[in-house]
Amino acid sequence: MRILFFPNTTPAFTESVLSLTPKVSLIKNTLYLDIEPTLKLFKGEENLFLKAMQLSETFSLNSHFVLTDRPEWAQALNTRPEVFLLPGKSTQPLLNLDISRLEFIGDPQKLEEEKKERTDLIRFMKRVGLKTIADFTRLSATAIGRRFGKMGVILLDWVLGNRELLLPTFVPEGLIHETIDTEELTSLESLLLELPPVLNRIESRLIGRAQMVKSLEIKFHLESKNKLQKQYHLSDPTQKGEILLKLLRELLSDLTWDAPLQSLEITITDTVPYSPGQLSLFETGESLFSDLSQYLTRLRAKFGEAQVGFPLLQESYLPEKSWTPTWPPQEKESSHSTPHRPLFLFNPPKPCHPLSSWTLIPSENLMTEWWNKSGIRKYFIAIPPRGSRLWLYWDLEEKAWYAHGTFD
Amino acid sequence: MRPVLSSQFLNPEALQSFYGLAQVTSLPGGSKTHLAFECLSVSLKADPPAPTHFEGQTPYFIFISDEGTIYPPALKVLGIPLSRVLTVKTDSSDQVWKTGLEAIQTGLFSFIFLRPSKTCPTANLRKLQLWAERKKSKVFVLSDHSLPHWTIKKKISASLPPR
Repeated sequence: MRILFFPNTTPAFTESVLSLTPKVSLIKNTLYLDIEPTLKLFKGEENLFLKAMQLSETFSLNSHFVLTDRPEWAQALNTRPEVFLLPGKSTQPLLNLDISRLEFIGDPQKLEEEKKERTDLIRFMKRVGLKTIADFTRLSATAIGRRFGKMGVILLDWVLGNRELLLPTFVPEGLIHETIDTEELTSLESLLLELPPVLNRIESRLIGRAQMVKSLEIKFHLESKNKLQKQYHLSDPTQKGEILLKLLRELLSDLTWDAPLQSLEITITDTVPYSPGQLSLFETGESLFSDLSQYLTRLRAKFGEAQVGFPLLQESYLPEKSWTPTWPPQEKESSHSTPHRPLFLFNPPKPCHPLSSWTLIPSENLMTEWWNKSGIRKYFIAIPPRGSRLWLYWDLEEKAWYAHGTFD
Repeated sequence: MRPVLSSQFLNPEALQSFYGLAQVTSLPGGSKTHLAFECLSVSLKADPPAPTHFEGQTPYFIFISDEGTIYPPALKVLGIPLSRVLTVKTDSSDQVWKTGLEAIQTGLFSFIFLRPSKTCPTANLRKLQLWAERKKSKVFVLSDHSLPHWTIKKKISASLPPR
């Protein structure tokens, strides 16, 4: 067994190391990784260890760790910041430890509970002249049982590796959430510089959870106590921080705040399971579609979902409801007869005042849905003596003219 | 209403070899939007098809405007596959130019249609022109505003067909 132990961890970092091994245990603030099962996958202990160190840097954790053979020894061996013990070489450093380190040997879930009993016992051991753990193990089990009782025998078993320790597996819970304190930031550029480390953390957590972002929520906390909240749906779910950065860059460049920004919260509100897939090296179609999806996501973040997309025809005689922008693109066969309708529609229709010199040719009458305010529209093709022909309608409810499209 | 300029006036070979910025204007009674999409339709129907870097698949097209959007059912009548036309409605005419430039830079689109309500600064237009030529994209600027002649490689006017 190979155990990588971190004496100080956070739930976020713990989530991210799930990408290194599924055998992850979080006991209070300490982290135990059983890296043995994935050593082959990462082509050796060194590679896996370096990846773990990179992750700890991403989460700005101090680099205190212990790499040892057994989880029950890890806390006791944590006597200096970096303890790297080669496979099969943990026993001697353990035996050389001061007898007081016996307090930390064993099941980490019970250490707190047994603390008093252990410290009393260690005090007694010191009184009878035991200085190191090696001195303790030189005694026979019977002698230890007679002198130090049941706890003494249990400690001996832990030291000699005679007990099997089963730690609970960590399961990530709740939404991924990151906050950036923006009070010190003076410009949008400096805010954009703060984003990559945060998005790297989100990416690492998503990889750990084997999930991809489908939608995210951004909350802006302003000095005026106002909260600005935006929800975004990604057309192509992703784990990549750089894609999220592009998206946020688009979004932030278009936003304005009425008061200084105090903090920014990013919450991943919806995810989909990560589907391992690789764009083929020779298949440009896949990569083209993926690039298009990323570009479309950015455009939608900027202009809104209703303004960007591939047209999908719908059954409606109302021009504005006869299609909807979608992603991914779908080809739906539909027979729309539109001989009198122009190729370009104004959105929204523009108020218009036809002049007496214009020729108005009636084209069609449309009724809007009964639940809408404006009821009947009378459409005309307007031909001014000069300029472009327009598609106008007279709104019978509002008693007003609107230009709905142009034939130019 | 009949289209004011039919494909018989367009030279498919010249269209296939063209890349850069083309301004499409409307003469009285003409339809620049229709003409621009007629160009696309002709290009799609070309036999043999124009060589592209999209390797045998139909490329994507983008239509960007700040005033409104194309009416897709009318586009379908021209034989243009709607699943290949990305429509974008921006908040302002500046955004049309900016988004147009980004669209060219992505290299994802073979035809780019820009229909801004206002013209843009010459420096930005020059940038657009250079990128369109670098990426070998066909960029159609649907505008009746006068644009600097040196930025425009082709000027097409939609007019009423001769009687």
